[in-house]
Amino acid sequence: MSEKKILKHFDIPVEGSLGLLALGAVGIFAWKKKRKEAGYVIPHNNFIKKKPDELKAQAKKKAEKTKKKTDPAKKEDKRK
Amino acid sequence: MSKRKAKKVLLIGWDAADWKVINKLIDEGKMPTMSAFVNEGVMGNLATLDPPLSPMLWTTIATGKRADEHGIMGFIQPNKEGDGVTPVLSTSRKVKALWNILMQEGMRSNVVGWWPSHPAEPINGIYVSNFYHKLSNRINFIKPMAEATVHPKELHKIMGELRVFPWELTEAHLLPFVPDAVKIDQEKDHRLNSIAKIIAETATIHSAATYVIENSEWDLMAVYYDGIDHFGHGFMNYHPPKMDKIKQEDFDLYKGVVEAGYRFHDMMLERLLELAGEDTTVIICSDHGFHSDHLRPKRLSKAPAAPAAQHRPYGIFAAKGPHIKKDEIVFGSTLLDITPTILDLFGLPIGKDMPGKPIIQMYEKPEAPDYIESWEEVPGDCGMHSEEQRSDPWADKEAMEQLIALGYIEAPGEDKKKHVDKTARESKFYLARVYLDSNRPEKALDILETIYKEAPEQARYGQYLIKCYLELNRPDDGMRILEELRKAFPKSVSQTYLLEARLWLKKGETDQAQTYLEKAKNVAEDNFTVTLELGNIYLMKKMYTKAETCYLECIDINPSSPMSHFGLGRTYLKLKKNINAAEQLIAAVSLKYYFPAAHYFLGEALLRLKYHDRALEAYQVAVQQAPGMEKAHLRLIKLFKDVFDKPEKAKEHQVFIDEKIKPVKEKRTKQ
Repeated sequence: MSEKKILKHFDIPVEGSLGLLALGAVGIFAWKKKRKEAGYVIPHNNFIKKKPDELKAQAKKKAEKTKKKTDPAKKEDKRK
Repeated sequence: MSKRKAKKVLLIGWDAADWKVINKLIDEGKMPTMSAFVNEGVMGNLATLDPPLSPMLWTTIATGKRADEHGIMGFIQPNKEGDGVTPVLSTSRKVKALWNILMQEGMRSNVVGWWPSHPAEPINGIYVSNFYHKLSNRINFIKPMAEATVHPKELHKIMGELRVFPWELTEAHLLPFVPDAVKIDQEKDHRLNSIAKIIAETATIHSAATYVIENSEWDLMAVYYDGIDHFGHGFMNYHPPKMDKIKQEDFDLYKGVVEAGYRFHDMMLERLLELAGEDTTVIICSDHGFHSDHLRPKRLSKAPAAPAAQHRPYGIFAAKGPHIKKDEIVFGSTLLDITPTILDLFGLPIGKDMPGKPIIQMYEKPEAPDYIESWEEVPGDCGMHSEEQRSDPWADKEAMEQLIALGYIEAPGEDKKKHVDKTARESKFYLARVYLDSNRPEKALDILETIYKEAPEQARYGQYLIKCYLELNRPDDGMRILEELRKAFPKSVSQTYLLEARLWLKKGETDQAQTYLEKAKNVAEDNFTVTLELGNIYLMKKMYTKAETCYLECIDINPSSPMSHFGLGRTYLKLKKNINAAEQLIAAVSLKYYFPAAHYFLGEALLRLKYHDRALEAYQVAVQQAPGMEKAHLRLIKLFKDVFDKPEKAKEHQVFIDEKIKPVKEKRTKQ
């Protein structure tokens, strides 16, 4: 299967897929081309994007944790 | 001259691939390409060698020689300057690989990622070294390709473009491995990074391989994938069934990684087969297996190369193509057989200095192979590095030391020197193990005595020295070392019980051997080996019920151990349970076909059951595998005379005993 054929017959996701990697050179070239055409920006951070509600929950949890750590009343209790 | 049976050969190396995992996935319909492959061809176990260290083993696969001949010893070697270490290099290989031999015969080879293969060799074909796909541990870093990674150099740019980096991967690539990845706190848990790195490195090798298959003419295409091994070392402990030491939440997250790794390889295999075409002979092999069940080690020591304890002694072999049988199993193959098999496929003679044999039982019509003295003697350009580039790193190190002593160069810092010395010692240790593994204990002895003296803090050196003394029938020397080990490692005394039992057994003291094995059984982590040896002692001492219990326990621990079935079969023979004996001995030879003693005792069981035809067959296999087994010849003589009325056949065996076996026996007696 040539790169042209892949580009013509398959809807190549800009995020790529294991199937494209398994196709080898033609799959990788086709994916890179698609990415370039779509102006896709590679997120150079975490692999897995969190859903907004999960992100909110995570942020809330983190804030609570920080609050607990910095809560002066709690600190006083600890000292006692 | 042997006929060429293969137009082209595609050799696919899957490091650490294991039938235990593959067969399960095939049964579940999760490896459809591999399933079709084994239906259309042959499959079997491929026995590994000791030590089971991949660079040594893959070099054996590509050369047909053991490590003492090919020169690749372990993972690292001293660098050229002698003041540090580098990964093992292709310049340290002392003998021709398949692609060098084929070049001399006017054939073209492509090599991708073979371990070790850097710097790239100037062969008549495309060569991409094992430095090509190695990425930085820093996930967001674009590591430049090392010099001399690609031959010919014109392909350097395109190969660079074919690389895949972990930071390019997305959920689409990672979720098949970790479906619940969203639950991972990626700031703290970096295991997703490891998975991304393995996927990227594997995809990089695959893209280069597919590119060269499609864009060049070739007779041999050899490609090596290390993904299955890396997924195994990183994630086999999370593979079902859950191990006690693994936290439930980690198990839930990462339990599918190994399976997904195999499935990814199955997808890549589909593409390789499509590109290679129907007329290509394809061989898939692995250098060793990987424990995936209750035999996974509970913990690993901190010694160098300790993760090798996770390796299973049987790798995989599968082949399909013109003239190859369909849906059959081949028995008795080892890593040493791959090079002879490929030479035979191309109709080329096998070097008599290659200890392996071609796997001719995979052919529809097996033919005797051709031999030459050695391929090493064949003159002409073979695409190896020039003499100046090629080097023995250990000799280089000595040359370095000489230069330092003479004041020509500066001595490296103390720590660096220690590191190099340690590397050199470890390499000698591997060499000694190669000698022990190939029944040459006399060659291992000097090495082990030296390194044990140099580094007595390494208990492993002492333990292997004892094993060596056992092989050399010197139990008293073994006892002396054992005492030293006990003094040096008082906390690990229990670990020496097994060795002590073996030493007593060698001295003929079965009662003492039994005592120490029973002690070992109470404390041993590796209960299987101890129980098996205890079974052997009970059998020897005619304590058959106890022997039966031990062997049954061993079968319970590891049902695929041929030695347990063999021991149990022999016990049942003694107990006159002949049907049970035959069943167990059939199980033993099914698991390990090259097992002359098991075939002989199977013959004994079948003879008692009056299955004369099948008994005859079993004895014939025994003498085929061990021509010097006199007792099997004697049984055959009796059967041919008394049952089958073929006195001429009986005479053949009698002549063999008189002319071949007796003189050897007499010589031994004199010695």
